[in-house]
Amino acid sequence: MSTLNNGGRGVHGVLPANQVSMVFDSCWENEGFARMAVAAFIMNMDPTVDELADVKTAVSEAVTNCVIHGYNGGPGKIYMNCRREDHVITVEVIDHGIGIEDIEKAMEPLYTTRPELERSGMGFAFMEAFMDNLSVESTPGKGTRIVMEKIIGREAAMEEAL
Amino acid sequence: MDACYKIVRKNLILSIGPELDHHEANKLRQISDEQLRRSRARNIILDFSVTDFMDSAGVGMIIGRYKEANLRGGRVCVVNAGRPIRKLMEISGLYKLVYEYDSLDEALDNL
Repeated sequence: MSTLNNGGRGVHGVLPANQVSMVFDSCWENEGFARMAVAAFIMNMDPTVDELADVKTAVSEAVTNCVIHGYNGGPGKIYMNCRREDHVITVEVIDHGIGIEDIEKAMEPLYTTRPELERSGMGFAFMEAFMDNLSVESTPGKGTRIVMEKIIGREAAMEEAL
Repeated sequence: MDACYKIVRKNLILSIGPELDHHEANKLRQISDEQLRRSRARNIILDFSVTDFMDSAGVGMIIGRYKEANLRGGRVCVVNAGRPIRKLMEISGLYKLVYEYDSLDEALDNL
């Protein structure tokens, strides 16, 4: 049973696909929970220190957006789905909050609707910079769905492709 | 670990916790505003020696401290920042506003 000795990886060293879903209350405390949960989820993928930091920051930005903008600090549920397929991690973050009127504007670096909170307006810019792919869908009054993807272990993935 | 501070001459030194997120940023902002009001400090030194996580809330906090120091004719310095912190500061253009030193002593010598 030699295949059991490589952490459950198949013959090509690739982990089987896996998905976890969670629902949590919209509050500051869960911002930390969400990024730790995703960090734990990708641990098996042997992320580099940088990749781990990138994913944690991006998740933190996405969840912060739900808490402070989507639900405006009030009660609500945040839905987070993490999926691993080959070397790609996909994180989906959904809220049923107020939504975004103008996504393009919201994604501009330094743009913030809440300058009084000393926000930097860098949330979406960081998600874009730290992940390989970002998509944002929003309906005003209905909520927002963010999907982010990142290749983990890019060097290992390149080697395998050769 | 809680955020803590120290005042050395005209410098307010803020020791940042392991995770500079919204919660930690708020705490540091409160301490900083209060200490700048009470003391004669005008420079702010942000010590990242134990910090390995930061997000855009941290960037907002640093920009806010820059404004406060600037009003007093002071500067903001960052010391002991690791790779993830540096990367965020670079992407957000913070190096145009703040100085960086490798150690606290070096910052204190240069302020």
